[in-house]
Amino acid sequence: MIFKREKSTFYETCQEIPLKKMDKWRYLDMTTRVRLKSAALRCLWVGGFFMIAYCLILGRLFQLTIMDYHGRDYTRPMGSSFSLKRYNILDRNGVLLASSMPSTDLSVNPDLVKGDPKEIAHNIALALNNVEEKDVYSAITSSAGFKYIKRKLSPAERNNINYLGYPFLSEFPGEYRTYPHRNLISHILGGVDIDNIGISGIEKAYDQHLQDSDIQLSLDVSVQEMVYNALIQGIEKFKAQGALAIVMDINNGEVLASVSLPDYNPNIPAKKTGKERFNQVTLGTYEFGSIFKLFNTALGLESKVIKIDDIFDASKPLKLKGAKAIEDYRGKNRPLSVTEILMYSSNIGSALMGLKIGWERQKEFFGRFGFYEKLPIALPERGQPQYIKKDKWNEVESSRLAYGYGISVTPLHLIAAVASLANGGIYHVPTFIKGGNKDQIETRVIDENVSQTMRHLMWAVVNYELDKNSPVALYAVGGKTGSRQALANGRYVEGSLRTTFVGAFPMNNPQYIVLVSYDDPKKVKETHMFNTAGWNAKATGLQIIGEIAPYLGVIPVPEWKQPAYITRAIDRYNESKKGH
Amino acid sequence: MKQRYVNLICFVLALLSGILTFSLKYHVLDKEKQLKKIYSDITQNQKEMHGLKTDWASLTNPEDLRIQAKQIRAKPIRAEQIIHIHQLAEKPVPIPPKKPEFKEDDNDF
Repeated sequence: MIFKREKSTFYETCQEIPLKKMDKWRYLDMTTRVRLKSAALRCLWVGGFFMIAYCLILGRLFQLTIMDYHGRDYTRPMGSSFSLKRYNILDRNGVLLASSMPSTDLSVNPDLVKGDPKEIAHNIALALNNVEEKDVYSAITSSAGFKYIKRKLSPAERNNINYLGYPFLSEFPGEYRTYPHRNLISHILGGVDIDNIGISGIEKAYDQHLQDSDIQLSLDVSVQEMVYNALIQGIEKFKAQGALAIVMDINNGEVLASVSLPDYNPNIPAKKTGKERFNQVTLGTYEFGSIFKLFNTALGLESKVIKIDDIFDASKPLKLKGAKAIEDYRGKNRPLSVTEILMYSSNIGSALMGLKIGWERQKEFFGRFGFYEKLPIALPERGQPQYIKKDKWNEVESSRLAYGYGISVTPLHLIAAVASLANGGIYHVPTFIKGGNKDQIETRVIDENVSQTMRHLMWAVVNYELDKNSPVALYAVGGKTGSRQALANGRYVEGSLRTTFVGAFPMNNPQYIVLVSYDDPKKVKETHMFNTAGWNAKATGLQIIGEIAPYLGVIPVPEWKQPAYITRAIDRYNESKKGH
Repeated sequence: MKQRYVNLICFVLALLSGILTFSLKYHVLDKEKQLKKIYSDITQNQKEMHGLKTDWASLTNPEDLRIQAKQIRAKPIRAEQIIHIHQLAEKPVPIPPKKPEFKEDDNDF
């Protein structure tokens, strides 16, 4: 059989005719052809499947590496970075105030203890510092499945324990809180318990926050130290029982320093006593006496009941029905102007002003400064002000309140209120957090013009007898002092005073306000045997201002322009001085 | 013949890609090991830095700095040392030029 294509080809007899592939296919039987066809189809399917798979992989690779890359990190996570359960507390400049340090806790599984428990307890107690053998014994013989023996092991203690090689002891990674500035900010920072849960101060107030991120306080550690140092010197000099001081930004209520003495070292919390633990700044409520004359004057001017040139007769004690006669401490025994009433801190003059103003106005006015409620601050240590029951408020009580008797508030209440008198009339709730009052709605408590007058009056109170050449005089400080009999167990103690000074500076454009208060300063030689605020609290307050003002970049006031009523009052003082 | 070449090329390619994948895998494993070491070093450094920051805060305690400042007789800034920018002179006061000193040699020529 010759095919068409080979027609032209000549083949010899018995010569094998080569068959092409297609020809072979044609000569195959049907069964084989079907089998081969299905095999080819299977190959096609498998090949197709792999082709699609490869295309998918290629497509995905293209998507990941070219299309979706955008600098993404596709590496596998390799262990977690260093993190602690409790974050840091920082000051306003980022200085570390409280931090957690990794430590090791040692525990025992009493069920696994084998051997003489007394000997084991003895060995473990020897390996650790400040651990009693009996405590270790009770832990290892306890019926509980798990007991801590000691927390916060030192590296040396860890080595000792590892050397013992007891298999029933376990070490756990823990952490402990450390306060690098020791006593300096103890009351505000507060502390944590053994499980690192905040129990007081900022540690408690921001317990949840500190588990997620750092917190930045409004405090400035350098200002805090200057204030602390001045108070320590003051306590020693005036032989006081205790002292407190606050420095606050007058325009936003951020507290830059807050010191309460006596204090404690938060690194050794077990050693603190009740008195040391007490934060006088936020928790203690005191009668601040004459400082309240500022509010009396501001209210008189605000309500327009009193004019700045008004004269009040302070020549003799004021007797009111059913009350003790009101007298002046080293009084001038003559009629006094409003400026002079503040300058000489006349109780009689203030009481007369209070009577003219009326108790209803006074009651409402004190409410503007939050004198009836706890301050809305984050700290858990907040003092509740004490005052005469509102239904018992009458003329007699009102005249006493005019010079600060009969109402106890915390020092923080007081500084925030005086700040609003001097800063143009805006009240800011004090805050210990940097930028804490950013979103606060401004509350106007007095008119701007009244605040301007108050600034001049406060300047006169501090400067009328201040040496013009003293460095503090350059900062145009304005303020007021107050001395009040100290309370002990609910009774006034004869001869024992709480003396306070509050001063803002510079009075042409107030930036900061300082409050200093001593608990029971003594009559000492250096103060010519006086113990009123002008001799101790004011001296320390001015010392603090002299130190912190250059640090805070406050520019001295080269020229101070005072209104005529201040000049008149100072001239009168100078004349009377010459007369003596 | 053609198909054989294609098969051969495919086989060689498959073999090469196999070898490449194999070596790449070990290369990646090696890199991962290095990365793990770097991560652990970073963690250790962070831990040490944290401790050092706490130490630094403790060493730069203002109370201690005050004591040290006394030792080097440093003094606090005084109020007179600070003035407002407006109180500064507008232009720096020019320094008067020095009069040329007479030298004997100048007359030599």
